[in-house]
Amino acid sequence: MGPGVGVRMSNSQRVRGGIVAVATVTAAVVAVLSLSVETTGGQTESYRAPRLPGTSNPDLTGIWQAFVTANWDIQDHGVQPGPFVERLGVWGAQPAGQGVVDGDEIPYRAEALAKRRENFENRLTVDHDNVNTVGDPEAKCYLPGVPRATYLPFPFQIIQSTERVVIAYQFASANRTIPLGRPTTAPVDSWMGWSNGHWEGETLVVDVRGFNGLAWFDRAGNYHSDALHVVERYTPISPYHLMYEATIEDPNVFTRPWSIRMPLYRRIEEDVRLLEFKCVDLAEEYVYGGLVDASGSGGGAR
Amino acid sequence: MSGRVFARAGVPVVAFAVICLAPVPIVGQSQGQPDYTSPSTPWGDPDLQGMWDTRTYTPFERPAEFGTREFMTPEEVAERERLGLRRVVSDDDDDAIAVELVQQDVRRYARSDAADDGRPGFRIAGAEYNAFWSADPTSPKLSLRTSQIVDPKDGRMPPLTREALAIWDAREQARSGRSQADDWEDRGLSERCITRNGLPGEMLGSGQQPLKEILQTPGYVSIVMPYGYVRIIPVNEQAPLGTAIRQWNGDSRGRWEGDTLVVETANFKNTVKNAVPAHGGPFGGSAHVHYYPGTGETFRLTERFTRIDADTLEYRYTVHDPSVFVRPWSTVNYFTLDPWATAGNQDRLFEYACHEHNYGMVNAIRGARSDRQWALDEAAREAAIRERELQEKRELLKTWEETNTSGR
Repeated sequence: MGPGVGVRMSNSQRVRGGIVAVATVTAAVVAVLSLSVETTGGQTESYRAPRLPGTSNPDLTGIWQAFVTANWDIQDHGVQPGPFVERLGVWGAQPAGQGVVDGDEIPYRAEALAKRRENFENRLTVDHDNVNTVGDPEAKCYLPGVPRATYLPFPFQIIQSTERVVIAYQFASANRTIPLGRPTTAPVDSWMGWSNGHWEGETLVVDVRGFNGLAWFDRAGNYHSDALHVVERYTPISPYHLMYEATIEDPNVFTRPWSIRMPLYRRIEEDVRLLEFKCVDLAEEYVYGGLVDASGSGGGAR
Repeated sequence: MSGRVFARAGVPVVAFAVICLAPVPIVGQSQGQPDYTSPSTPWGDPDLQGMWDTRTYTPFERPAEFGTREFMTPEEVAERERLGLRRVVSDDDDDAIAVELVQQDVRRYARSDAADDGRPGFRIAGAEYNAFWSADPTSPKLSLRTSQIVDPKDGRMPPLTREALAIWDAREQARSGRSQADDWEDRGLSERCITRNGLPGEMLGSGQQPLKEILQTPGYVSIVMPYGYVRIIPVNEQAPLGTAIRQWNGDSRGRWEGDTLVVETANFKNTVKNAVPAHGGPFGGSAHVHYYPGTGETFRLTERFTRIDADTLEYRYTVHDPSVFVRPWSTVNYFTLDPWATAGNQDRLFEYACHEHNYGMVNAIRGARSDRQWALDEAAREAAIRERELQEKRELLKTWEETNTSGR
């Protein structure tokens, strides 16, 4: 795409500007760190983030992104060809990646493993009578659920007010509100779950329940039921990093709770914005194409 | 929701519940408290935060009966309420609420049938179902305004340009010969779960989705929309997006002018390809033209949010699109701080998972395929309604051109 060249050049200039800014701020942070004697709950890091004005809480506002390959498979995985390699070449190939699961083991109940295999085998199957229970929800542009929304290969923005936190994800415009007051109970199940947040020292802890059980963890078919309970921890460890940890509990599918962990990186490009990835119109041919009369009796060139 | 609701709905006793008209706060003429100063956030910006009821019962365009009057009398507002134009529940008894809602829906659908080509009952098939979705536990303040549109002075949307009418014509040409649902692109953006009504139309709520939440953090104002996304408005020095990046909801940027948040939005996506008759639409979904009537690419939206008293937010927008409208036009609406949420009964908006459960699309395509003649007839019937509207727009433009000799 010809016009893209100019855009790329201006972007790289912006990034260079950002790096200078990073270097300056980093120097300042090092100075602060050397003076800091703070310790935070369970963290070895002694970083103390700036406060949100009007509160004593760290300010997590910003655009963040995970740089792991967990969306392919949250466990260790090797290189694999992508689907439709005959048409796409290496676009869509699965890169090797180290897992994000503590101990690399997901404690499935014996009877739950078959469903994971079935999910994987049918990951790109569309069943029109079961559109939301068969196949990887990501391919259909469905809401990604928690924790998968965090490590999709898209940024998300944390918007923190004095009363609550909203996380807006680029993928499918997914979002969730995390009130920080008295916890409330999900009135109805949902894809993104029902979040209640509170602060434990420097860590934002988010308790998420009320899932509908339709989301997956990754493209490998790892899944959960509607009994899923996720406890997420977001801890600032530098001006540019959050440590993300999530404990996953689901007695219908797993024999014990297990955890994932990964750093989240602040997107520091000057003028960086959370853009739209409203992917419905990119998924319609995939989801509904099989229903359309292939004889072309639809008529009328569009 | 209990089976009782539906059981009672089936009782053929037309006992119109009397709506007890409690004194209802009214905004619109006084423009709020003159000496009111907006509260501030800890970082010194005007504080617009809260869960706002964004419904309005003010007509989008001024009905002919009001002539050149900008405001109604309180008696006229009460009369509109009596006609069910404001649907409100005033009794906390569940059954009474259900019965009243059903009756309100019956009245509303009776009107829509009357307007729908003499095919009574065609669009109704279960008013109680719709009443269920439209339950209004609270009511926003009423406005005395006779129309949302305040500029031009006649309270009517300015005529579409020749360019916009040509695009409309071309759309109809491209659609001719297609049925209601040969494929998904024959359905509208809201049925496809892409946008609900688009901006700015979906800034105003409905009975189904009355609320929007505004949150602020230094440098950003965010609006949690009930339609599955968050409008994130930078109020900082960031550069706008490049013109190659086009989005369904555009690119919004804000600034403070005194206590007013001014938001400019551009970079809208070209929606021509996606524009087909459907529910909703950026301008209130009147008649059968429910899509943005142009390419969207020259559309610039300016919005102004001002807190005019403790629980009222004045919301103004101006549409600038010289390729679509012969002149810019502006509206005024009032958002009310939602007492239900403020009292601690609701701490967030609910998830809007539309596309995820869109069996309606599966069934529409299957239905059109299994009876294509029926689907073609329906498409032709809708096209005829649009053709009448298109003709009306042509005449409006002609009249405007005759009276504005300096026109385009």
